[in-house]
Amino acid sequence: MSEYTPDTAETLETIAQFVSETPPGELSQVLNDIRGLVNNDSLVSEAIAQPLSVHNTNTLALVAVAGSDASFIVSKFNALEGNRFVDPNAKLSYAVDHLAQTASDPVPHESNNETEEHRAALNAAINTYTQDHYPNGHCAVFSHDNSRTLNIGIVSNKFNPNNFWNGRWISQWTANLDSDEISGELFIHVHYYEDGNVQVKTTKHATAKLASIPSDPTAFASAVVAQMLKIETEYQLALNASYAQISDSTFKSLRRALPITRTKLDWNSVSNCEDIVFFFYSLADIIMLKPPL
Amino acid sequence: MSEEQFDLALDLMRRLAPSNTNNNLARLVKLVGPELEEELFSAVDLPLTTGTCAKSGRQYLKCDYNRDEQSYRSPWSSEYDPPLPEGNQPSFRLRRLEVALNDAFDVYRDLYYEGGVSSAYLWDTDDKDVFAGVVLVKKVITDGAAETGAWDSIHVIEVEEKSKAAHYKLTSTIILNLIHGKQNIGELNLSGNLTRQDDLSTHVGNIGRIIEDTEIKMRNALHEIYFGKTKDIANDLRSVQSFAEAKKQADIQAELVGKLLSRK
Repeated sequence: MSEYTPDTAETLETIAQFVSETPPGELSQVLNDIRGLVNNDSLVSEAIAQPLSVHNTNTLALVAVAGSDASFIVSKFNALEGNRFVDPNAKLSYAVDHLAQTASDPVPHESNNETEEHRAALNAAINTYTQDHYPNGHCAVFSHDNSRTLNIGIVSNKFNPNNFWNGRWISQWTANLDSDEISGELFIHVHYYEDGNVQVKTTKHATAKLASIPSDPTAFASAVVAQMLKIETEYQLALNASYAQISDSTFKSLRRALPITRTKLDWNSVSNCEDIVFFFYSLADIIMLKPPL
Repeated sequence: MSEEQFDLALDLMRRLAPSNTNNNLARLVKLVGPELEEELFSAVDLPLTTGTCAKSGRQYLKCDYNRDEQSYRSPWSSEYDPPLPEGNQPSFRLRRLEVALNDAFDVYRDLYYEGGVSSAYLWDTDDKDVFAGVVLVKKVITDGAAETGAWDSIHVIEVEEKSKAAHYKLTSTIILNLIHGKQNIGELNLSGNLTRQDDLSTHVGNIGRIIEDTEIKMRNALHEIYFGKTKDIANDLRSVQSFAEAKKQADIQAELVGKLLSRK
């Protein structure tokens, strides 16, 4: 039997695509499926390295610091070269193993002195906000060298594989010490897979204006969080309203619950000629001595 | 090894984006090779495509069951497009049943879907007492040029005819795609399996009733899962009300209750 060998370039692209589509909390199952299908562990290891890094930074994955209880989220905002990431509160950078989701090899990292006071205040305010609205939420505020921009990341995961569902909410916001405008992106991904594959994915881009640009770090932090709260709450309510609207109109336009008569179809009225037709054809079969079908 | 790979492939398809089923299935086949290709294509349901019957001008749905080589058979004329003189045809008797089934489901489609396209195809199996078929319905709605919703019903039915009774086995899949506004709210694919047994009166009536009941059940399930369950999960991820506020209210309530009870 000839061995089928898939094209390597195609395999790498396929693996990257599959990893990028992985629903929340199902990475190990997807990797397990990939390994079994490709049947070449060294190729798979090579193929998943970059996609895993992208996946983790896109989903604000939580990494555990080896040898401690500490953990922090990885994102594109705290990425350094060579797969190192900064924990802005610990003021350390770590080497991250994306497969194991662990961090090691701590190295002191100088954060931007100019913006550190604001960053720390915003971090504290975001922490409170996250704990107040996101069950099992994780967050961080990141600063950058040579910039007065601050980036906020909040992620809330709920994994319930025993009941065949998983969900993730991501909030990413950008603020600047010199600007009265903040901009954000909200991502929701829900997967329900009992006897099926139901996925909900939403993306929302938003901007908001602060009433003023407070110079005091704490006031600045409060102003930013106040706007975030307003937008995110509005979005969650709008989402629920959308559900109602789709349920009432779009879904019904696809298929009614019942015909306009409000009763199920009378199949006798649409099929009653069948018996007669069969009788004559059966008769024809007998006359022509055809073998019974 | 192949059967294990088949299970892994199916597991993967239940986790990847349902909106990408076509592309992902193709990728999967390239990954595992032609050995599993046929099995995979018959196990994974894809959204249906439509064709136009050359003879009647009516639309019909294309699937693997009315395909022979690269041609598709119209349920209205039973002719292949592109033409295939030696193409697979159902037996004389099954074709008569197929015509009746298509006509009946044309009415069904009109009553429930008020539009859309339906098709039914039947075929004999190796077992002379068993024939099989598929009933398909597709409805698409658009907002201008953009598609906002698509419903695909795929009902595969197996009929075993005994002397006094017939047994019907139905496997149903509904593929549902909903896109809301400029924000993509969600895409949905739900598969259901149902096995029913019924007595022989007329096949069309029995098949029709089983499929109608199944679609009603599945539509309800879809409604519950999509508009109820996924919405609940999304709202589990973030609380509109602040937990601190909620706790304060709960504490106040508990205090009031405590005071009421202590008065007694």
